[in-house]
Amino acid sequence: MIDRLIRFVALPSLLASYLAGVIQLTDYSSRPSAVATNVVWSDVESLVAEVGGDTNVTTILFFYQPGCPCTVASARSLQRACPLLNTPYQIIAFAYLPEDAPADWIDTRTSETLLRISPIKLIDDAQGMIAQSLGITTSGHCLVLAPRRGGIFSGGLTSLRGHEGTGPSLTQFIHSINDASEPLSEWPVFGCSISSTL
Amino acid sequence: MDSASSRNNLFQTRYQNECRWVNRLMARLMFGQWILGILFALFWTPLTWIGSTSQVHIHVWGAIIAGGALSGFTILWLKTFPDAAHTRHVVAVAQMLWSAMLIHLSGGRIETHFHVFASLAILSSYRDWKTLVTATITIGIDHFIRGVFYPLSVFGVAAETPIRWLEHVSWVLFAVAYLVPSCRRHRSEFKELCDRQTELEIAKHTVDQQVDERTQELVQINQLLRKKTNEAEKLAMVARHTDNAVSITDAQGKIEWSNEGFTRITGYSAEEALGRQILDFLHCSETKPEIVKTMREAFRHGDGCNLELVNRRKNGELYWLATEVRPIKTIRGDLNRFIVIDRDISERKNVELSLAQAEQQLRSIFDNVPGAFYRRYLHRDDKSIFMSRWIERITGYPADEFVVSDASESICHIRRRSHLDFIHPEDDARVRKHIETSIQQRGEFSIEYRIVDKNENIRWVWERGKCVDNCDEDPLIDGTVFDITERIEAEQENQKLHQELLDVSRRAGMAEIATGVLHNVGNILNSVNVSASIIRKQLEDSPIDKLERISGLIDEYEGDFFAFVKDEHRGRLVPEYLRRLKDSMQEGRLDMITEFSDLVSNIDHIKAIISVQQSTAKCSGLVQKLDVHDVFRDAISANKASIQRDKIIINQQIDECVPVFVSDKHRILQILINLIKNAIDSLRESGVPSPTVTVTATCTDEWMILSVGDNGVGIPPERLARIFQHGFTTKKTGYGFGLHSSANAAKEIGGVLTGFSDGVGCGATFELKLPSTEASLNESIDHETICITGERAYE
Repeated sequence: MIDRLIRFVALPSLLASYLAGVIQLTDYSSRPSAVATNVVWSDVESLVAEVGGDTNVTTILFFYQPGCPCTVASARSLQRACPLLNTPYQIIAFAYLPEDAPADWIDTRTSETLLRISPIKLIDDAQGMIAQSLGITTSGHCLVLAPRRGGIFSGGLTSLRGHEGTGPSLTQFIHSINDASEPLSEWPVFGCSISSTL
Repeated sequence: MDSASSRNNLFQTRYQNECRWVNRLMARLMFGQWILGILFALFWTPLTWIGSTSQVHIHVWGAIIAGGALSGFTILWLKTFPDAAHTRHVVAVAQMLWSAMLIHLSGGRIETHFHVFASLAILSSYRDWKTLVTATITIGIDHFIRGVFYPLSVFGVAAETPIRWLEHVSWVLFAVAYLVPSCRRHRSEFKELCDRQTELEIAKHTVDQQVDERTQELVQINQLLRKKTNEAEKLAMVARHTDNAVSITDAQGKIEWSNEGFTRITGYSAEEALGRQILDFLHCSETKPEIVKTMREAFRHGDGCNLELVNRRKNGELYWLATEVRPIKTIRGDLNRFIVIDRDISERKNVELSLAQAEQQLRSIFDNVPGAFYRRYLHRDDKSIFMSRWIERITGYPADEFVVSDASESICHIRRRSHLDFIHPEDDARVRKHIETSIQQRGEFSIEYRIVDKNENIRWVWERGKCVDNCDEDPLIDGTVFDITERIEAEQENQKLHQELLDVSRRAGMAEIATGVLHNVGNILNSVNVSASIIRKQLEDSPIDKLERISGLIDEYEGDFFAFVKDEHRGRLVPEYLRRLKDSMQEGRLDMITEFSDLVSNIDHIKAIISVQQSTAKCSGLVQKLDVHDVFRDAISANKASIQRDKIIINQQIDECVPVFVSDKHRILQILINLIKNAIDSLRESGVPSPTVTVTATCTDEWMILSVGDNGVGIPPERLARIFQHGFTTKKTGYGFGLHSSANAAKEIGGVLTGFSDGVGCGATFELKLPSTEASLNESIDHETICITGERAYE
């Protein structure tokens, strides 16, 4: 009886659980959180100026939730892409800071990775108000504002959730910055939600 | 089982064990991967965030559920099919799926791909190249599907070419190409190792078998040796410590060895005997020469012999010796030496001598006892194995003709006599049946019967015997036969005399009855005579002559009698005279009526005595209700004349508790009249101033006691014991019958008559105890002798 239970119930059930888990994981990895298509670039420019950024160089704005594990891959993709940029640039990272955040809220692997990129400016985004003002809702969302070109890139740098490999968005990110003729491109973002109201 | 089969079996067994070990390793690996996956998930992606709120990351759940399902599936498969070949392939597939999942979760990191190669190396532990093929196929399919349709998952980058998966598979094949031969080689080495081990085990088994066989042989030899050694030690012990003298000589009879028994019996030490001829120690001057010769011949010819002889010890003491000479020969039959075993049989010889003397005495006793003793088997045709010589006196045939010499002879039915052959034909069936019945019950039998002896004389014998168990063999019968002819003849003569005596006794009894009748009637006749005399005197003294005188006056004055009466003086006296005459006649008439009444009563008593005496032979009497007052009155009345004549005072005392009782009145009267008459006689003889007879009646629970006592001459103590004997009397005119018959009468009615006296001049008292209960009646019967002899008086 037990042998039949194992053969015809337990083993198929376990196999089915495995398959279901794999499918779920694959689905989770492949499904983007959001696509920001309504970014007001003038607000972005104002923001750059407001936070003390140089509006004469290409500015990369990186919004992230410090605790999001998927955004680590986005930060590393950014870190890997920066040496490939052939125009001056500055990076301003906005770290989502909730109201009752602990003191070490920002001390995460994502922040560490970003701080290794130069030049970069890390700004606390209290309650995600800045990101919210720009319509940014997903951690890992990257905006690129080029002088005189305006916004040239909006979206995530990874092709899958937590995926560090060279993907189309990262390639486009580099092309968009290096090639002045590249139009604005928008990509899906894979990461945690910045807005608590989402 | 041949060698190849053994090798194959060993290989299969050991490879199976090896696979089980790898299975356990893979199960632990699966479990470890699951735990590591969970830990990695908890480390890298513990939480997912929505603003400031977080929840467990789906990777953690994925690691727990999907990883757990895959590892659980594999472990369960390993447990369910531990020895199946497909288990190894399932493990290979599962391990490759683990690799694929990890590659996917790591975003196709190249480092994670090493998991595939590590897994292949681990799978090669099975030493089964097919497992590697399954793993390769699995990972190839995975890489093909994901490389073509989902390259980011497996390569981490968008594939530039759809055949990049082939590169990965090629590297896998590269590794497998090395691992497969390696597996095959390891498997071959493993198999070769098994073959060698099998050969070694076969060789070891062969050697072990040979060792076992040799060991077994050695053990058996050792046991045999130990057994022989023990036997030899025991034999040596026996030879050394036996009471017998044991000597070993050479072929010429010279002593080579002797034991302690030799010294003990002969008195010579072993050192003294060593080297000397054994014959020197086996005879003396008293030994019969023929025995010495026999021994000498035995030693000379190398023969054995057993002899009993007289010998002397070293100290000169004479003793009996039983010697056994045994020649010891070699295998070829040559005489090697002698063993001489001597045994001191003096005690046995003495016992035999005593036994012979005892047997002689017993036989003499048997032969002189006036009876034949025999012993015979129960089921062997009545033949005896022993018969004493007295049987010849009984049957006329010697005892030897009755005895079978041994059991075999009795079985062979050699013709021998049996004392049962002489049974008189008329008694034969009865005797045999009686004996057979008694023996069947294992009891004793005793029977008298007639035999017909050798001279055709009929003799009476008394045979008695009993069956004796014979230790599970045929039981024996021990018996004696006595000639009782003289006794039987004496008994017959005695019986004849007894019959004559009975006739005489009958006549004597008749005389005794007659005497009793006469005695008792005589006692009553005294009273009858007295009454008759009184009546006669009354009649003689009758005033009838006076009536004649009055009649004469009437005749004389016939004419004027009234005037005579009226006028004359004499005439006036006539009426007074007639009145006195009437009173006198009336008084005499009353006396006569009384006397006539007593006379009638006594005559009735005489009739009753005669009736009782007539019925004595029938032992029965007339039983009626009695009042003790009436009984005492009648008894006293019967002796009235003597009482009146001797002016004896009658003191009568009757307890109120004395009831009306049932008994034979005339026997009781007979007893009481006798006792009162004896008392009167005693009082008359003593001449005491106030002679008194005391009659009393008392009652206990069991007895009613009627006693008659007097203050007369009494009875001397030495005569008390005899007063109830027939013919014994203390009176000058007595016959010694009264008390005897009274005691008998008391016994006949269930009573006891006893006498008491304190001696001469002290008077005597006799008690008649009559039973008032049945128990008392029985007791009185038990005291029959006492009541007759009067011994109760001394108690």
